[in-house]
Amino acid sequence: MAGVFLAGTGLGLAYNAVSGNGISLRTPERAPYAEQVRWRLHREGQLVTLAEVRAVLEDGRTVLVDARASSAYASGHIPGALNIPVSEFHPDMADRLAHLPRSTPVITYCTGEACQSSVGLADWLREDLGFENVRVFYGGWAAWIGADGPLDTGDE
Amino acid sequence: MARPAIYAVLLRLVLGGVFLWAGATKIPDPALFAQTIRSYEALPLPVVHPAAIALPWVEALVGLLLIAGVWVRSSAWVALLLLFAFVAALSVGIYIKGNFDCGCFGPGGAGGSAVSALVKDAVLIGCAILLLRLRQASGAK
Repeated sequence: MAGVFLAGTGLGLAYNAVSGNGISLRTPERAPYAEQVRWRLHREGQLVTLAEVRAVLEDGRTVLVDARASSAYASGHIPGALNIPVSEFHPDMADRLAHLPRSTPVITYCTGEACQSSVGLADWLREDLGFENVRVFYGGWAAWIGADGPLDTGDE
Repeated sequence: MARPAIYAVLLRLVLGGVFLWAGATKIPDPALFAQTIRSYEALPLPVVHPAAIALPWVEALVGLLLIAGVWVRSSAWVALLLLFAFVAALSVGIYIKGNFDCGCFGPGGAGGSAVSALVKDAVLIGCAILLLRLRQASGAK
């Protein structure tokens, strides 16, 4: 019985050491803020993984919305993504999504986990514009580029 | 195959399948699982991260061994021990916070509420005990 526990623990420690998303053995007093946000999104079923974003690029039904500044968007964004730059926000930006049925699945993203614009934008799309299925790619642009995802450049 | 032997295989596959699924859904994201454990408020803080690192792999390994029919007795005992630990953690969580999403099967709330998880754990404890008794009766290790 101890052998199963030890083997499982050994595998866990080894995976934690070599995988890109390992955590420290020492538990911090409070989880980092980004971790708390990510967990809230996960518990509410709003968290989207990199693999899911790759999949929705194939299916073509889901709309991606980039929350970064327009200059960052122009220099590179996930193919097909629309831009609603939260730092330059104006309510008229809702017009950019006016043609979409409210049932359209939407995924927001921004720079990465240090950036909370994608979460705020998702709340606005859901609560103010009435989109029924809005989720967040919290890993964002950093995760996309880190995984060598394809990109488009230029304005919308 | 004698009927008790068929029952033992079925119990192995059910218990193993559940443990493998439970472990595999948590392995890719230990940070999220650490937050889930933290939310239970049932474990001392220093144990949270080590548990988040080790537990999914122990679950997955128990599942694999049960399905493969290797070290069945040891694996069933570990499963039983883990299930009792889960029942204790869920009970503490329910006592502190009322019913909540258990996070038993990783992202998306696939494990259902804490109360439904308690019921499922009770059924799985029954499966593990029955499996151990059948193995004991047949003299298998």
